[in-house]
Amino acid sequence: MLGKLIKYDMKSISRTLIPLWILAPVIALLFSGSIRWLIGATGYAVQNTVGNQALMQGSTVVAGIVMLVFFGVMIAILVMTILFVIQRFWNGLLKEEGYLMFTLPVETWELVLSKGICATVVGCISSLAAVLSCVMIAVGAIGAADDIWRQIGSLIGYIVEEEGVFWWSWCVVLFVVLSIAGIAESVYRVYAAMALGQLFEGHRVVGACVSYIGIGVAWSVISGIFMMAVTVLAPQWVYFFNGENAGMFSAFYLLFLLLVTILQIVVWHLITVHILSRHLNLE
Amino acid sequence: MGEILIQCQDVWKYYGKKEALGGLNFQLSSGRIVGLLGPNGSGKTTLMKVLNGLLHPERGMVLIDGETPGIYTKSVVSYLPDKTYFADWMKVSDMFDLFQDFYEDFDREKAEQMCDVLQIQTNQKMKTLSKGTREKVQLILVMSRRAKLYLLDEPIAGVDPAAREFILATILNNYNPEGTVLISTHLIADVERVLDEVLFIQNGKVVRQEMVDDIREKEGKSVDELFREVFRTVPYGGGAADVR
Repeated sequence: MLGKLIKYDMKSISRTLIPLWILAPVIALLFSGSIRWLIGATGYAVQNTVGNQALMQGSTVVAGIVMLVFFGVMIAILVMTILFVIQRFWNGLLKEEGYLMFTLPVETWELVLSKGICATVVGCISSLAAVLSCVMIAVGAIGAADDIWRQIGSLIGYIVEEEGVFWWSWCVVLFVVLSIAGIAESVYRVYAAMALGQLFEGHRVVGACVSYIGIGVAWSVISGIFMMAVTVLAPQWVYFFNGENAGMFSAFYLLFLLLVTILQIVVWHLITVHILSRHLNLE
Repeated sequence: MGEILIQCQDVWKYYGKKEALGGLNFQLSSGRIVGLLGPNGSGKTTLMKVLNGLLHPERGMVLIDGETPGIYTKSVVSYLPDKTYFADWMKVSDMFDLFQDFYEDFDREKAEQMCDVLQIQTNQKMKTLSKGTREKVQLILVMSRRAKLYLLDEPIAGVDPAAREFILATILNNYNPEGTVLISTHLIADVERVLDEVLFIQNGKVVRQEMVDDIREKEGKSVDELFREVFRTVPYGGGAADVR
């Protein structure tokens, strides 16, 4: 049943976000091209002829317009992604659509998990589209892009030579997994806040916003106390900061962050499912 | 008399401090059409929500086909809420796909035939349909299931008399005769002729449960007349207005 729920949640994305995901890299490519054109035009303009001045001005205008469009699309991706995550949960489970979803023969955790998976996928693809677009612009904006890639390559080679490939490979894997978990955590935190917010009869939106802030503050206090306890009880951990085994330390640190993030996801999920199972308050 | 389909024993539900159901007791058998009748705010919608698992009672026992509300009961209950529940992006055919995927008892062919009769295009988006057409699609979805229990919450409220006729005819022509239909309403006169049994509910309690034929034979009254008698309130200033 979870697969069927995900199918319907994913279907609702296709109409809004897919065009933006395609549009961002395409505009980034145009932007990148227009910057290269601008650089080329500047070279000609050194000769200071009237024609070359006009060419330079024209290419500046084109680059400016493409840049504006690009930033517009990036903001649109960000806003649409956040709106999508909030709206699909709010409208899909807590408003009229809830009468359909909560009477389907499925468990409440399946409804929440389906929305969570779908929103995480949306968050990941939006982030990927944004990163890809930025890389495209960077390649266009920096003429010596080949040099940069070469330098990145030699940096990786140096690290591998010094530290061995094992720990740094783990770091890369853990970083990717942590990024995905971070997106899922953000999604679930919003879900828990909305689930709490629907309990505030007549002030559901305000309740959700207050709950979101409350959850953030509560988590900061708990993690602060935990970190203080760790510092007091295990001062020998400082040993890892000496830089001799940075790869291993980084991997373990990322693993620790990943476990904490997974713990957060589980806690927000359980809060959301409990409230929606026992205290559902449909409009 | 069929098997017991719904059992409610000492069911209590609160909204904050307000009591919505106050120790509700009743049983319903399968194979009949039952009217859940009561004035506004008497607890009809709350009871419907408790029966289909949207709300959890604070106390008491609710059994449908011998099970507490959960996945099994949701698979045998066909619920028509008093709101339309469609997502804007969905087409009529998307809703049919969804029902086909989740309910084994959904008869897609029947649903499509009903749409044909009403000239509703299944490739139309929900947001392009009028409110009345959306309500009809919802009714089609609910009545195209061969459910054990149909919970219809105010199906004829807020519609014109012709639409009421259509809704009642759709219910009568399409429900599973082995199942039970529980219709909540306060428009008694319109539904009276289709009912086998009535439950009168007031302040979250069942105040009367009778077979419709018994009311007519023993008391010589229509259900509408009995309803007015049971729920009569004296207006401010005294007297009574006959608004029939």
